[in-house]
Amino acid sequence: MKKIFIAVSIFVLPAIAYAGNLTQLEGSFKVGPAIILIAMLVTFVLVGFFSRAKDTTDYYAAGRKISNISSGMAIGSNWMSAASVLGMAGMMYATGYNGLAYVVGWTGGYVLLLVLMAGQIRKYGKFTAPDFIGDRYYSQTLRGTSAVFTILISFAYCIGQFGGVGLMFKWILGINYMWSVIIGASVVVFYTMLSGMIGATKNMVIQYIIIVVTFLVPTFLLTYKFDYFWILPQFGYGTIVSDIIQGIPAPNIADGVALVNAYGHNVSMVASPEFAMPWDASTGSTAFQWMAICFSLMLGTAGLPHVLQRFYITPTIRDARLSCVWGLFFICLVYWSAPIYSVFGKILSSNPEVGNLASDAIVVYTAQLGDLNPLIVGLLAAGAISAAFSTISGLLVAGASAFSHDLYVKIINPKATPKAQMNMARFGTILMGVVVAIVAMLNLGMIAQLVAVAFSMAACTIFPLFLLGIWWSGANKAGGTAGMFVGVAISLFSLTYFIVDKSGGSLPGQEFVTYWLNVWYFAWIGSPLAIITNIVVSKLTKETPYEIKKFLAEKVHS
Amino acid sequence: METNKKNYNFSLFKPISPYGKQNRNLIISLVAIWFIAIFGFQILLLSLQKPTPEKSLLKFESVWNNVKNGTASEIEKQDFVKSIISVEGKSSLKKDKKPVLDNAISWMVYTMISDSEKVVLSSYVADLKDTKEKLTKANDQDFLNLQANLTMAKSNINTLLDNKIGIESTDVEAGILPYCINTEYRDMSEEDIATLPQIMSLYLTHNRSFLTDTKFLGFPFHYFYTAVFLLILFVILCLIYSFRIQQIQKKYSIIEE
Repeated sequence: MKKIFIAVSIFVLPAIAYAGNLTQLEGSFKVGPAIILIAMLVTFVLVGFFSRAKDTTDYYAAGRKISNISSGMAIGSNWMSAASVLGMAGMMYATGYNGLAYVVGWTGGYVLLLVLMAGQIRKYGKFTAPDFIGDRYYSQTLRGTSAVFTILISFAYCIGQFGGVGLMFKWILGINYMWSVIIGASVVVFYTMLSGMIGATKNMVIQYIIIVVTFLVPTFLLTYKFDYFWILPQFGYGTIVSDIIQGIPAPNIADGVALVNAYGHNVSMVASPEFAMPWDASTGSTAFQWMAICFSLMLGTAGLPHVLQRFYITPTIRDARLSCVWGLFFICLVYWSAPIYSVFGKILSSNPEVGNLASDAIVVYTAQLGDLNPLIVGLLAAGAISAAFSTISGLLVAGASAFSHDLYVKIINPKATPKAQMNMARFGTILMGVVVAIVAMLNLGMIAQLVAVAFSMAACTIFPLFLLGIWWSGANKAGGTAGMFVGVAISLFSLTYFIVDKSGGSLPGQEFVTYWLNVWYFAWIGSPLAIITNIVVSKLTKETPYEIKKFLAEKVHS
Repeated sequence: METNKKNYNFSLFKPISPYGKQNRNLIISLVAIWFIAIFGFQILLLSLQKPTPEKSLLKFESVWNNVKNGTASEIEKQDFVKSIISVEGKSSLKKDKKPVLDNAISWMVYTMISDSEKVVLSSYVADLKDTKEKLTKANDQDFLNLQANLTMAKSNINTLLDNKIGIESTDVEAGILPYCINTEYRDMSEEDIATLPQIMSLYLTHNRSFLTDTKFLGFPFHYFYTAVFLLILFVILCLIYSFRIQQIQKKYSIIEE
């Protein structure tokens, strides 16, 4: 860790100090943010180089020697993607109270993860999610299927992240989107390929610090500047929510001067209760959708392979549990703050001349409209890139592990030497990185939207297998296979309707399916159905082998 | 031999050891708190909520019949315009709804001014739209010049209308009104007349209850509960589990690797 912090000190801190003098608002190449970005990239590569994986345990599970606080930070940054850091506030800006379903859904799942899975997953002692499924359900078919799903989920997720990296590089460096994706992908694939989970995790710790600092600092500055309670903005922004509801009918005066945004527009607005009132008809969302999204995201969180894999890296089972607590706390630090950007975005863009802002970039726009120092805006972009990188590296490791460990070693070539396994893991990382980068370069909006399905898909396929596999000795191969089949069938059904809808077409019952089995939340019914199917089929078929029951009872639950 | 085998059948609800039973009780208690805290509260919110109109909607409904029949007084016309501006100023307003509201405001504003003023207003509005269009493509000094022109165009419109509409230059409505007026005068269509009350009701009616109207640390209570408190609760539940499970393991002398 010493080497890592030296690397950070050498490259990032002087860059920030120097960049402050050079940042410009105009021009396509932004010198200040570019210096910060380049320093950050060099640091990530150096950390990866210093933490090269020596064997497969290093590559898949960071040598099982990451402390609980570091692991918590890694969980936090692995979890928070660019979409999470930039898009969370955007959802609340665009949909008001409905956006809070994502805040609750993306944090509440960690409670389930901790009490139902974290310790038990670590006790089981495997490397990957498909590894657990294959062993627990004594089925190569389930191992292979879950490995394929792990790769698919990681793949879909990664495309959106690479797209985000491309946009931020483009904004900072002023180069075209294709080169932006190539540069960003090269850096993250290089250090992940070199160091595997161990380097990715150490980088995630640094990336978390960058994310939290760059995200929190503007919230203090904005609340101070606009005369709200700034000492703890996470509580102080309540007055702004109330102001939005009641409206600010005349120029908001502080110290005898009217508060204005960067364009000189008064901070005043008409009453807008729809922003905070639950399930407002004008937003088009209902209470059912709020709860279904929340529920699906929580189950999805507890079923995403790259999240589950984080519990294999701690030295002890207690550390696995504590890392989950730390991880949730570190995530909450950012999620408590995200609504601050949405409420400031609301009041600072209330003038018709500003108009509705693109919600995905509301964090950056809010900082700009709040007339914060351009360096702060540059740092926010750097934070978003860190968030994307940490998620990408976690996904690459999860996808590559599924490819090399679960498909290649466990199914195709069980006699592979450790060296061959390492080479295959590195090949898997490069292969996945290259394919994702190529697809991301196509800039297909539709694919970015498909990221949404990853949560529900994980909740319908992997979550039920883990839940029953850990907590019911009766869950057997046939039950697991049937449950998986139901989960996959519901996922494909919903996905088909979604694609047809987005393509402008229509299938029988399109409106019904779009509302009740939307890609964002079809797991509200899909996951319980997969669980019930698993239970019923397990009851009707040959019972779980004695050795597996014994292992569960003696090793996992005692 | 088979009968001598120890029974390892278990589930979350039927653990096979005293430690397992305590663990089960802890998990079920925490998951129940977690579930009720999230979904119980939202269901409570749903069951208590009542569609509540904003003052602007009540004002609109009180003058709408007279406005429609052409018998509205000057004050009623002003109230009509202000109530529609209260919807036009919402950033949540969908693009497809705006033309109906623009038509209603324009119709009323043009009927409140003289013919000569109509010509002047029309040119001011055209100037405003033209400047705003150019502004989106301008940079540097051009941008600043156009911004000054825009301010001037808005000021001209507000000065022309302030006596008629009763909106002062410092009112929030003054920044919105100029962008709601069409360049041409025309009557509201039958379709607009039918749609307008629906749009007004859609945007000016909200689900409210004492949970949304009670303030806590400056927040509406329900917002604080969902955006701040629930996250705190999740962290606390995780902490409780981590410490309690260690105590239980200590009690049963369970040593984890």
